[in-house]
Amino acid sequence: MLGMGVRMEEDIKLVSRFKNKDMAAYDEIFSKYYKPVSYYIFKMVYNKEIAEDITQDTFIKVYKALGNVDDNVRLSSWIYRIAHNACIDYIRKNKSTLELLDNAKEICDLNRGPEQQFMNKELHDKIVRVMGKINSRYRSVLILRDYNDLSYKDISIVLKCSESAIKSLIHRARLEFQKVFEAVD
Amino acid sequence: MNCKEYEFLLSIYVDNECSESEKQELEAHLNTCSSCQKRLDQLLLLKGVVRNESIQLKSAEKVKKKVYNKLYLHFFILFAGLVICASLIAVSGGLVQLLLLNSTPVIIKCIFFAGVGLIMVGLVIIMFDIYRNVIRFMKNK
Ligand SMILES: [Zn+2]
Repeated sequence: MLGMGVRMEEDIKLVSRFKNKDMAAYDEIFSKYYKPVSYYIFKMVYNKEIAEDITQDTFIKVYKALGNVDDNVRLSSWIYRIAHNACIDYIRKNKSTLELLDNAKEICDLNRGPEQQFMNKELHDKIVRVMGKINSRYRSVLILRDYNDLSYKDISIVLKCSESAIKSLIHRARLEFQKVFEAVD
Repeated sequence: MNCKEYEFLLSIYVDNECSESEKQELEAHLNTCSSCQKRLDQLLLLKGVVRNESIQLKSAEKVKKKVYNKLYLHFFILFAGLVICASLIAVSGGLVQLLLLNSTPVIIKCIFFAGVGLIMVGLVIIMFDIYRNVIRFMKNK
């Protein structure tokens, strides 16, 4: 918990530096959040090009809106929230899950990096397919919690609902994931 | 509590978001219930599976460059738009001045030119601000 407090203090400093027109602060924010946020976006849409576009738009929005945020904003949740809304927008506009799955199949071959060789390809493909099949809200909480390591409180800010709602959402998401995982061969 | 309720608690437990008392109660139950113990193992496996599914994306530097370019373009367009507006006002101001010169009372002319002057000052201030933003960007690149 101490680490968390330090991280938040760091973010508050970054925000106030940005507000005082220190451009290096934006640079630091970008470097700090690019990787986790772009991974979140990729895992939501499972398409490399689209994920990159959404990532760019997200950080442009961050630049444009950061001057007006509350001084004590939880920067990470705030950025994830922008990214999340952009993903949901995209998913709503392109509702065909089938397309997502086709992309996913193709993409997961392209994206296998050396660091994941320990995970076998079959299992990896299966996860991609399961993730593509479950509801985007379930997908979102699973990634935010298990991949991005956000606390329930942070997730509740990203998704704009109460912490207790997040508790049951994550529980249901895991039940759903497991159900689909067992059904997909 | 029954196993169904414990199952809900388990999901919170693997996320380390349980209260101390919930944790103790759950751990006591886990010692006696093999089906909940099995569920715990499943949940931990699932978490591991999601966590370890990694991918390779473009490097931060490449994407950062693109973001900066887009932002730069955004400021450039704003700047160009303002320059165009300013020149339009200047030209139309000149035209109106030509028309007003002979036939209008002095007081109306004064008010008119004061108005044009204020608009110009405002534009200069806005342009200066945007110019500063652009310079900041160029320095940063
Ligand atoms: Zn039990």
